[in-house]
Amino acid sequence: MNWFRVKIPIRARDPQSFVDKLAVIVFLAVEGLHTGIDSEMTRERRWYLQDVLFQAAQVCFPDPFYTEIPKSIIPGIIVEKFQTRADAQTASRIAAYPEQWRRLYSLVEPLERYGASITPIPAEIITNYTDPIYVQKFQLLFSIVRDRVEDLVGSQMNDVPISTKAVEEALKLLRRSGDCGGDSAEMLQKSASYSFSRLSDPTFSPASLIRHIVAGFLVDRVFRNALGVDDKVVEGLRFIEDSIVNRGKFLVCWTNSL
Amino acid sequence: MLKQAIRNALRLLLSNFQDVHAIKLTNLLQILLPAASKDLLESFASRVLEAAVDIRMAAMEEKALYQAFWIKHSQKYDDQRMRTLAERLPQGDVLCIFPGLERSDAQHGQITLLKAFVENYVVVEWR
Repeated sequence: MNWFRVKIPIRARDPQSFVDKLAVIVFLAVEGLHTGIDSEMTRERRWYLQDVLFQAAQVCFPDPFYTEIPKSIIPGIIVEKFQTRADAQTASRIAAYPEQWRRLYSLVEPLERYGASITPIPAEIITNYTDPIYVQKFQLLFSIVRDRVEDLVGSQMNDVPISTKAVEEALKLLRRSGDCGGDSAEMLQKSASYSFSRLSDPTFSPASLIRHIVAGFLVDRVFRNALGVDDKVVEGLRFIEDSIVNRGKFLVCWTNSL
Repeated sequence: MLKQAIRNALRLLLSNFQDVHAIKLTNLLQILLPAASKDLLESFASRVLEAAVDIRMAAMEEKALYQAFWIKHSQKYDDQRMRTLAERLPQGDVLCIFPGLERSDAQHGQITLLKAFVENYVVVEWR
């Protein structure tokens, strides 16, 4: 399996925007595997685009599913044929492909201007980390959360009540933080055992609840979020991940038979 | 799963990312722990985010895919993916107090490296 690193000189005035765009390209790179060919595109531009898409797909989804795909089929899948096999939800997404394709076309242009290039990653980088190191790092994070929350709770005076307005605000912030936050907010609204109002109850130790909130925040904002990238882009990437897991093999087998 | 492609670009944004989310976490905790010192909360939020981002950045360089998983409150106890802090095995729904870590790779599928820590939690009113 080949591994690549995309070198991107950051010369854009707005790097956040550039990263968003790159993430969209990654998103569409996989979608591009089953997107129709834009007949107005020049051959040279299509070749360049094919190359970028293929490399991006390999970089971001270094998976056997994609290493075996001949470059020539990107983006060479005929939409109509796919639609006959698609359920309503998939068909709806396919209907949006032409617009996505135009968007992708416009996004690749700045990539060309920034002079992105793709080089192999040295093997030593890939083998830098091993499972025990991850477990160690994770356990360190666990111990920080466990110990520091105890300190925080210890410094909290239980006789300081939390107003209804503050509870509502906290629930609102939780829901905004993501799926785990939403799950917590739902529980905290329904549960008598664990609720924000009990944080000022002298008989209640709030450490578990605070750790639960912190852990959910980390999962939502750090582990499941693409750091610094717009949430909508992340949703798209997550969708693609699911798509690859659920039907990636099937798609590759099918497209190879075209 | 953005991987190496945007890793370098993201490094430029990381300090800003950590600051923004440290403020968000501090604000949330300040509501829940109004008597706690703001300095203490800020220091806690920064430290936790730094450690979490360190793990996330390491995972972005890795061949295998590492991801944290979360146990929903309505899930039943499952010793394959959860580790309990309670003395007895939880019988009811659970409260996840720390995520677990899973690794996926093409050869071995999904492997749970560190289980989610859960606390026994019975939700009486939902039964």
